[in-house]
Order: sequence, then structure tokens, then C-alpha cells
Amino acid sequence: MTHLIVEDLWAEASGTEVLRGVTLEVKGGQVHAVMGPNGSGKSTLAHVLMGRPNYEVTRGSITLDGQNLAGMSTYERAQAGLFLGMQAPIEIPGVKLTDMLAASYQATGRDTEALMSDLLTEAELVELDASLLKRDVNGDLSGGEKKRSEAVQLAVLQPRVAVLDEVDSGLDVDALRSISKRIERATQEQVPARQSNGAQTPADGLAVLAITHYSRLFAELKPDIVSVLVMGRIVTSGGLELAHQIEANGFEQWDTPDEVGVGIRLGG
Amino acid sequence: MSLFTSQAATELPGPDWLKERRVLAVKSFLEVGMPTPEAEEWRYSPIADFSLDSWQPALTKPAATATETATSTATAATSEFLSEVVPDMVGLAVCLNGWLVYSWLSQEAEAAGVRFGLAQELPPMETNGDMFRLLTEAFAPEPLELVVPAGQVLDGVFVVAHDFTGSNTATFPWLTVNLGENSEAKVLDFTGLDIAGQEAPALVSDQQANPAPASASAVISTSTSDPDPVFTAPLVNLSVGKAARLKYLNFQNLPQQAWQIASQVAEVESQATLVSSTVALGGSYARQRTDTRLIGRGATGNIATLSFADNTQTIDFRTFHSHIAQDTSSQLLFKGAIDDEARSIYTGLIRVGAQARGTNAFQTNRNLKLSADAWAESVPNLEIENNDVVCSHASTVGPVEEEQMFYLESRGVPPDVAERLIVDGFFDEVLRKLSVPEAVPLARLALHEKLPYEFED
Repeated sequence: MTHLIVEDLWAEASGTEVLRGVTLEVKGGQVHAVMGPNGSGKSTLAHVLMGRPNYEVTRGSITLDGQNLAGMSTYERAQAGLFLGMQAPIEIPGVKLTDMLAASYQATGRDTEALMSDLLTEAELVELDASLLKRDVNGDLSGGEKKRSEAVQLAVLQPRVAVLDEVDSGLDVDALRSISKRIERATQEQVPARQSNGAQTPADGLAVLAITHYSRLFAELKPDIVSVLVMGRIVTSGGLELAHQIEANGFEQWDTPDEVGVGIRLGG
Repeated sequence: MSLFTSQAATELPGPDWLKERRVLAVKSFLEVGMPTPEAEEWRYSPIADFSLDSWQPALTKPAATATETATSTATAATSEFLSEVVPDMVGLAVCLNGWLVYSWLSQEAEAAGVRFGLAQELPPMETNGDMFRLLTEAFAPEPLELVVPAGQVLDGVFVVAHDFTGSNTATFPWLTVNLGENSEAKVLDFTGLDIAGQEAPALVSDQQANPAPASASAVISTSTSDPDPVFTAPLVNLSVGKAARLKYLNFQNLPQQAWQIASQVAEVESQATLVSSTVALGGSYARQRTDTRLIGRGATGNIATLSFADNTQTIDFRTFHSHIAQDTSSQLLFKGAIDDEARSIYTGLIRVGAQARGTNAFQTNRNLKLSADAWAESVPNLEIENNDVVCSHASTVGPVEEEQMFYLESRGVPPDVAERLIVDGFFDEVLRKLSVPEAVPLARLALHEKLPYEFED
């Protein structure tokens, strides 16, 4: 069973305290949406989970199936099964998408032989033109194509937990639909865990932590849990109805620092 | 006491006209003297550390045994190159300490009337303030020439290979390439090719479409078993006749103890094209000065250069590009990586003369700093005397971008592999523009030796 637990996570970015005790969890097959206004710490949360340099964790823990990720570097977290879908994927000049993924496969002892056919299959599923697979990483791609490419990478890398940072930003309805469908499917596919340390973990569906400002993502990707992040803390959690409430009323009701409650540990 | 005297120069063999030039060249050199770092074109350089007195000119052909070894391995290298690295080689000249020890010309080139071997004539010397050119004029034991007659188009590659041997030896290779009107040729000029074919560490070629053959690693490996320092001052003259097309590439892979002060002087006539490249990898101090003159209307002179300095190396490029005639164009791309405590210097001057209206000139220098202790100086300059021109220059010095590393690592790529992918990616642009594509797999191989990494099976 895949189980990511974030407990009382405090973190600074460039000396400023951004996360102030985030507690949440997500299990294999679940979609946990984290919603929040601008500046609430959504992107910081995504980057801190992936271990980005220049973000300092000052307190708390991140564990994946009992393995503490907090002390690991980014590539080790990725090899442990974490994936970050970037909000604005950058171009890496001269580095082919296929070379990057082949290096990733090789680093975890996966055979690269099937990489190209896997990529072609996945590109078709999210309607990404196959010729774009031969390009540099995000080289001359439109915003929508970049997000489709992120989805293709997610699908072939088969992580256990996907942190999606504003996956819906800059996407038209069609792109959003096909990407969401693919992610939804991944939550149902029973994929055996792939771990660099050789540890055995039972097969499970993808766990998704979808970080977003708007609820439009949920038309296709139905969240099991919706949490609200304000001022660096989870102020409340609930089901899809919470997203509808935010859509109607916005985040104002939680928008004063004095009312920020403690992080809510979800049961289940 | 300097051994670089007129007396010494007269000991070298050659026809009378060459001997006369040597004596005059020594005289001029002694009059002008050694350059100092105060001179603009020697700024930032360690030239103050250089003492001619610690070197001796290679006045005699290397001993017979060494020559025989070189000749036989060169012959072996010939067949290797023929079959693998340069399958379409049309001529080969192998030199040891500047002395020609092996040469070969294809029947096709011979039938075309190509001259490739000891020079029968040499262009007048233009020092442009570089005194080492006079030293080469005085002490080049056997200047070489490649002369392609008008109208002849050679599809294959002429290969020149220089190796050096001996202790504290100073060597002066001199190559002149002369393309007649509307002719075409490609030249691959190795400086520091290890023709002794030493064992190189096993390398696992990556997934590039065009990997170097296994035999290349033995030839291309930088010599480390021969710690004797050498000094070389190679001079290359490129003359591209009307509407002719010359592609020239210098592959510099000297041992890291070596000193190189190289010069390239080029003239491009109307509607002609010169594409010149350097792959600079070796040397303790490796300098290359290029002077390119676009003298005919519609002439093109492009440069694409790649360098990688590590340890305590200094790699130094000085480029002087003169647009003299109208409608001339140039694209200069210099890309270099610097690691450890290495230093890189680029100074480039594009001059657009008063007559050169319709000039297009673009100059780019990009430096990738792989270590905090590495140092790069980049000084691109424009000097424009005509208003009807399009010119630009750009220069950058910076480390591997953190967000690129983060992206690759977030996909599970370990940092050392990620860095190699990014460095490869950085060089990809200039590799694609190298004048002689046959050198690309060799350049990749040599770059990977600098950033060692083997994929796990």
C-alpha cells in the first residue's frame, strides 16, 4: 500500500517562513486536492515535498511507506516513487526528452528497450504529437503540450505518488480532459512499486496530491479529499462539496491570520 | 641563453628561399621581442610566465626509431581512420615535432591536381602583432601545403595529424591551405593526436546517434604517460579563392602539460565561404588567435568553436574578424565549459570597414562554469565604420542552471548524470555547427572523458 504522510511540516523559502505546520496524507488510488489562494504556500509545498534546494525544512516529517523522505535529495525522492508535475515546465536546451528518461530508467535499473514504445502509447493517450517526443525537454512546446508531456513522463516513470502543481494552469478544456483522464486511470492501475533500494512493496494505484487554485480540474479528476491551504497551514478538509463552496465564496472566509487553525490530521 | 638564433635556424633543411625567410624572421623576432601582458591581445594571459629560454627548437628529425614507430603506427592509424572515423579520407599527413613522417594522397585527389605535402611556396607573413608567428616562420622545419586547383570539388577529408615528443621541445607546425576559384575541400587538423595509440580507459558510448568507433578512444585519449612538457606554436594560413568553399577544423587534444600559442590567418574572396572550427581540450595554456579577412564582395567567414578546460588549464581565444568588402557575413559561436580551477579567456573583435556596407555579423560567446573556482573572461567587441550593417554580439558566463538540475533530478536522474546531460546539451548547438562533422563523435568522446560517467548496464 502506498501511503504518503506529511506531518507538521514547516519550511522557509529564501529566509521567509512559508509553510507553518502542514499535515496531510494521501494513499494509493486516492486523489487529494490541496486548494489555496495565491501566496498560501501551494507551490512551496510542492517543491518542498520534492526536495528543491533553497527551500529549508525547519520542522516536521515527510514519509512514504515509513521511509523518511525529508533527508533525501531530489533524485532519491524521485527514485523512492515521488513525481512532481511542474506548474511551468522549463526548457532544457540540447537535452532530449528521450535521453532524460533513458537516464532515469537506467538509474533505477529499468530496461530502456521498451521506453520508446511506452512513450508512443502514452503520447497517444494524452493526444501529444509523437514527433514532439524527439525534441529537447519542453523544447519549443506550447503551454498545453508541456503539460501533456508532463503527463506522458508521469505515465512512463510510474511513480507511486504524483504531486501535481497547478496541472490545470494554461490548459484548454480538451487538454485538461485528456490529462485528467490519464491521471485518473493511473490511480486505478495496480503498478508494482519500483524502488532503487530493491525493497518490495505491494502493487497499488497512483496516489495524487493535486495542488490547485481552481476547482475546474475536478470536473475530470474527482478528488477523494479536498484540503484548504491558507497562510501555510491546512485550515480545513472535506469532500468535493468543499471545492464547490470555494468556487461560490472564494477563500475569504479563512483569510485572516488570527483564524488560522492547527493542521487537521485526516482519518482513514 | 636562447637557442632560437639565426645560426640554429640555418641548421634546418629546405630550399634556399625558405632558408632566407628563416634568417629574416629570426632577425625580426629578436628586434620585436617577446610580448607582455600589458599588450591588449595578451591581457589576462599567463604570457609573463613564459620563457623561451626553457625550450629548445626541434632542429633535427626525431630519431630513426621513433620515426619508424610513428610511421608504422601512423600507417595503422591511417587504416583505422579510413575505415571508421573518417571513412572518406582523401589525404593524410602525419607530423612528429613538425617533421613530416608519413603522407598519403588518394588517387581521386591526385587526379584532381591537388598538392598535399611539403610546401613549394608560402604566403607572406602578417604578424598582426603576434610575434610567435615570426618564430614559426623561422623554425618550422617542414611547412606543409594543401593546394586545390580551381574548379575541383573534393568531397572527402584531408587529415593532418601532429604529435610531439621529447623533453622541453619547441615545435613549429605550419600549414597553408589554398583553395582555387570555385573549388571545395574539408580539412581536419589534429594538434596533439596521440598517434602512438595508447591504451585509453574503456568508455561506454551513450545513446548518441553517431557514436565514435572503439578504436578512436585509443587515438583520441589525451596522453598522460608522456609528462615531458612540449611547446608548440602552430600557424595555419587559409586562403579561400573566389566562390570556393573551405571547411577547416582544428582538433586540439594536447597533453595537459603542453603550452600552445596557435595562430590562424584567413582570407576569403568574393562569394567564397570559410567555415572554421576549433575543438580545444588540452594544454596547460592553450591559446588560439584567429585573424579573418573577408576581402571579396559576398564573402562569408563563420567560426564554431568548442572548448573544455579543467584542472588548472587556461584556454584562450582571440579572434579578429575583419569585414572589408561589402555584403560580407560572419557568424561566430564560441562555447566553452570550465571546471575545477580552470580559466577561459575570449576576446573577439569584429571590425566593419568603411567600404563594408551590407555586412551581417553575429558574435556569441557562452561559458558554462562547472565549479565555483573556475574563471572566465569574455570580451566581445564591435568596431563599425559603416551604417548599413546588421551586427550583434552576446556573451554569458554562468553555472549550470539550478532549475534545470532540479527538473532532471525530479525525474530520478542522479546529479552527476544530470550535469553531464546538461553539459552535453550546452555543447549540442556548437557540435551541430562544427565545420567537419567527422570530428563530432571524437569531440563527444573527448568531452565525456572530461566528465567521466558510465551508464549502469
